[in-house]
Amino acid sequence: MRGIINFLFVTLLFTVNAAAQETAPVVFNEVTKEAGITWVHNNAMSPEHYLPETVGAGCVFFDYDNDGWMDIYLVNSGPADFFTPKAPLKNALYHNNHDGTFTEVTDRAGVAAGTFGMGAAAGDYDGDGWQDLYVTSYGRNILYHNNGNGTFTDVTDKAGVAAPGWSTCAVWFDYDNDGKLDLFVSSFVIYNKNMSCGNNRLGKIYYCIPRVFKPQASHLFHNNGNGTFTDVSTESGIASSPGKSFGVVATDVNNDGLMDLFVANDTMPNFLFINKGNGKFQEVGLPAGVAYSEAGNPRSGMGVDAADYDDDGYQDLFVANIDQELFSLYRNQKDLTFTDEPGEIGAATRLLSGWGLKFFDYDNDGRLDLILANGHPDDMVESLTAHVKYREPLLMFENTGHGFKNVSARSGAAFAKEYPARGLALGDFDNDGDLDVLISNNGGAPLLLRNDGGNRNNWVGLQLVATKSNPGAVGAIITWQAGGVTHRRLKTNGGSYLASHDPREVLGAGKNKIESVEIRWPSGRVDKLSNPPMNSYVKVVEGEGLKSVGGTK
Amino acid sequence: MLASLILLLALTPIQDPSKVRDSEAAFARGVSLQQSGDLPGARDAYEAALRALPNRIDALSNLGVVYARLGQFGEAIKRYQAALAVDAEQPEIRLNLGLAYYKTEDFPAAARELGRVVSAQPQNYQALMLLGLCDYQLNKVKEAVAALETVHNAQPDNLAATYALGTAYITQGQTEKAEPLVDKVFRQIDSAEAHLIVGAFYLAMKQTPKAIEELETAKNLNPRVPTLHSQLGDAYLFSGSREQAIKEYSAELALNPRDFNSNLRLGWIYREDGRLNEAEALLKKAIDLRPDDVAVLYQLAQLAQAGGATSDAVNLLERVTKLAPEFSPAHVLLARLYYKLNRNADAERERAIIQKLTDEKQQKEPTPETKAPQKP
Repeated sequence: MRGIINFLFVTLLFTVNAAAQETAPVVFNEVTKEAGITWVHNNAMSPEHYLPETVGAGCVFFDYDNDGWMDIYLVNSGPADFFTPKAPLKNALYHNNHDGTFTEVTDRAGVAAGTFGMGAAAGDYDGDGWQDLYVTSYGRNILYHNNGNGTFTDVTDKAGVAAPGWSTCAVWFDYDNDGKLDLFVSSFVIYNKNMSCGNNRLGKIYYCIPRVFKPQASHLFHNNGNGTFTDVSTESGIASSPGKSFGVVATDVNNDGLMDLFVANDTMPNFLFINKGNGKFQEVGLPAGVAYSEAGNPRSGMGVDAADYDDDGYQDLFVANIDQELFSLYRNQKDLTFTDEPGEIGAATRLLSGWGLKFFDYDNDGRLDLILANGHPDDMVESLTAHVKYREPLLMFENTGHGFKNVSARSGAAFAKEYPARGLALGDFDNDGDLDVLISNNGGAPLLLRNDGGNRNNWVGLQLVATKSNPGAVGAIITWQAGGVTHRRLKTNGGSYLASHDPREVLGAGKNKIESVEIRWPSGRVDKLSNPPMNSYVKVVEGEGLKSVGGTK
Repeated sequence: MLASLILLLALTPIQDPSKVRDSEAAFARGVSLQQSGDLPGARDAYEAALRALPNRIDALSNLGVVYARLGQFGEAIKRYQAALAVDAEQPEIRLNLGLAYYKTEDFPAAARELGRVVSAQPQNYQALMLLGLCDYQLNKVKEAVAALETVHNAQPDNLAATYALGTAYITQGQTEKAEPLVDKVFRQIDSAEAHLIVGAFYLAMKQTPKAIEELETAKNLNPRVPTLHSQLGDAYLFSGSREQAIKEYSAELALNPRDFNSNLRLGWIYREDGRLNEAEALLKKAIDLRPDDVAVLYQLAQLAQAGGATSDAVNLLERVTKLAPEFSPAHVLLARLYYKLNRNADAERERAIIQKLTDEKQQKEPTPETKAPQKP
């Protein structure tokens, strides 16, 4: 009898504990105002409805001053051939004060830009240890070199990366494994401000559907290692596939150690550029099954990401599309083909249009979850359709190990609101070991969402410092063991939409301790850590291993 | 005019008075029977009148009308032509001839005859409206709109012209002009059928909220009107209410198991939802109804693919691409399957076709007007 009572008592305790865990989910709390972020995006919306108005803008988490804390960069509109601001507009750089607040330092840093901005990508292109910044625009792009003293210099012309036209997303990656970061820049349509698509059913001018505009080839710039770049779009094969390109992610879908590119196209088939290793890329979207929907139709691809969400050792792909098209979760079949298996995500996104998105381990349980930021590009859509809205909700999906479960309803008040969201960046701005979220809204204030509760599970944060490999360690493979389970993560770069993310990798361990970590650098070098300090950020230098342990909040 | 009349009388052969009397009597009987609705009796009477006087123009014309009302348009056309052979300057008879041609869907002939009427009588709005409809059928939409706008402006209460003009505007993509016209027509008729037509119109215009409103009104008035649930299913499906769409398609199939659209759409939904057996039953019913329907064949191909029947899927897709060579999605799926089967040459051929179709589609996209957008 006593045994039965003990059993019941233990069972009851277990049940109570489980219930307590159930009632304390990870929550993303909106802290934009208390963080001191007052900047607001101006989308330049006009009665004439010029298409660039509705596409931007992006946001970045990066540590521009190497103080170990993520700063924020926000992209704004600016003068363009169709827009003259009434008052000067500028992008915004917010310095992290290490106490949950930020201070705007844009003018001092010299990164106001002044173009009709789209997005930005941070990366240390010259390997001097300081994160530089590439800003894309409708018009001229800008490469800001980080001077290492809190200021930046516009080196676009010297570097040769202006890429005029209409650029959207950009990603730093090392396609030829020469240890330097090259640059891919997505090009959107060939746009002419003097083109009008007439009036819609409401008798008003509307945003032209990109279908009517001609596609344009994207740019691939090879880093020459001397502060300049060579446009290799043609010889690499990238220019052979003109697109209407938005999101891009650098990943390795065939595990050959060469970084490939997955590019979302709007109203056109997506591109999967396979890196052939000889400076050439081959576009294989159609045979790979990621170019079109399962029904064979091109979709309106916007945001993208890549990750091995099912832990089978191969990178899977995600694309956010427009309403009625369903978002795509392309599962890697390990033979350079994919199957679209959106599962619960499909039904949840049927009426949504997605932009910023990212796979990340929001609760540090070792599995990659997924966040989606949404918003319809047509500001008049609600007058034209029954169920589609201009402002749309954010969605949070938890990876259960058997698929994705929609946990938006329990993820915080922000998930009950609706936004004209565009860019989405991830970064642990409070250094507490769980990844926070920054979302840029078209024509509105950004949204800083602090992850509260993700660090209840154990974690180790890695700051990878390359010595031979590319400065972003893009392409590194991180393997860690926790609780007898081996996890593996490829350090991709890019992903989301018009955004750039915290370059550190947070490794989740659930309730377990991380027993070992292995970093296989793109150069081929391997560093191993045994029993790394838990719940801390650690600096790992290529070829030297663990160098220092950072603080935690 | 007087000289012409004198000449006509001089040339008219002298007629047998008894035949004239017989013909008059038969003609009067024909008119009486026609007015009483006895069309076969009227036909016989007019035939009798014409046996006595074969070139009697009024009898030929009336006989043509009777044949038209009996649905025998070929016979009607012969009688009208005979009447016009006697006197070509009879716009009313020519209008009837044009109408008969229109009924037989010989639109070029109808347009020819109606054009002559309108030339002779520019104010004949009935002829002008019919001419507009012919132009519309002949895909001369610009000319159709011009004709129908004239009629509509002159006769704003002419509901037929209003509806026809609305339809022509829709074809031109001028939906903002079409909407008030179609709405005006059907606001005046409060029946399930009328609301169904208005709902179908809004559905075609992709104005799903209004389509749902009209179709739900129709359903309240009479839920058993054929195709009502099917169209309501479409409206809900296009608006994203998938579950309600399923209910409506199911309701249509309960009333009318042979409704093609509901079988296709519901089969399509079930296939997407992985309910493959249910999808198969519905799609097979749909293909029985329309054996060469590309949409059903395409769904069946995807169903076969989902069930792992790759060879069947390839066969179906090859059939689809033969029936509809410009249907790009079928080429996409076929290319994918060829790649999967290592039939790389076939896959590359399909890929080239897809690229060609994509390029052509881009070329066909309506080029935005190269002018500064007007300030609203």
